[in-house]
Amino acid sequence: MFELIINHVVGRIPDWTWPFAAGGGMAAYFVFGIMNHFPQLKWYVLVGRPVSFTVFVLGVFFYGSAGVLTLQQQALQEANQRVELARQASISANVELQTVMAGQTHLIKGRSYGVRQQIIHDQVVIDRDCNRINDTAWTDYNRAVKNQGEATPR
Amino acid sequence: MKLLVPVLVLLLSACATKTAPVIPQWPTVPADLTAPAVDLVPLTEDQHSLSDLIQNSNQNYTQYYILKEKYQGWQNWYNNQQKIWQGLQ
Repeated sequence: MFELIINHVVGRIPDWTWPFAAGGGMAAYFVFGIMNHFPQLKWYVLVGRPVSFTVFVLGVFFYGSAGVLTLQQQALQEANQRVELARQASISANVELQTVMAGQTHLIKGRSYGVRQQIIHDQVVIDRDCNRINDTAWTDYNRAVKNQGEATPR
Repeated sequence: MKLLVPVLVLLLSACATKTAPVIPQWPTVPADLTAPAVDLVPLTEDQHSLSDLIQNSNQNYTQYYILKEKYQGWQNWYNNQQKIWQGLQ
C-alpha cells in the first residue's frame, strides 16, 4: 500500500511542491507559535501546529532527504523493463513451442497417412483370412474405443 | 507531537523498500493447446472387416499421438513459463 502511494500518488506530484510545502509548513509552524500567545486562538494552535510540522517534515523528506521517490521510480522502471523482457521471452517460447508442435503433428499425420495407404494396399491380404470380424469382437472393440460399459465383465 | 513518531516511521519504512509494485501479466497459452480433445472413433455398422478395424485403430492411434504431443506441449509450456517467471523474481 505504501509503495502504491509512493509510486502512483506521490510520484505524480511535481518536485517543486515539496520545497514549497516545507517552507510553508515551517512558516506556519512559527505563525502558530506566535498565535499560541493568544488564548482565544488556542484551538487553532492545537490543530495547526502538528499539521504544519507534519507538512514541513513531509516536504523536507520528499524533496530529497532520502531520495525515496527517485529510488522507487527507478525500481519501478527496472521492474517494468524486466516484465517486458519476460513478456517477450514468453511470446518467443510460445512461438517456438507452436513450431515444434506443428512439426510433430505434421509428422504424426504423415506417418498415419502412410499406414492408411499401406492398409489399403494390403487390404486383400488382410481380409483373406478374416473378411468379417465376429460381432462380439466388434461390440467389445467399440466399447473399448468409447470407454463405456460396466467395469466388471458380464 | 507523539503522532509524528508513527508518521516518521511510516515514511522511513520506504527506505527499506526494495521491490516495485509491478504485476506481470499471466502468460498466454498457444491456441493449439487450448483446443478441445477429439474423441476416439468407433467402428460404424458397415465396418466389419479386419482391414476396417486396422484402419480404425490407425485413426485412433493417430489421435492418441496428437494428444500425447499436446500433453507434452503443456508440460513444455509450463516449464518454459516457470523458468521465465523465476527469472523475474
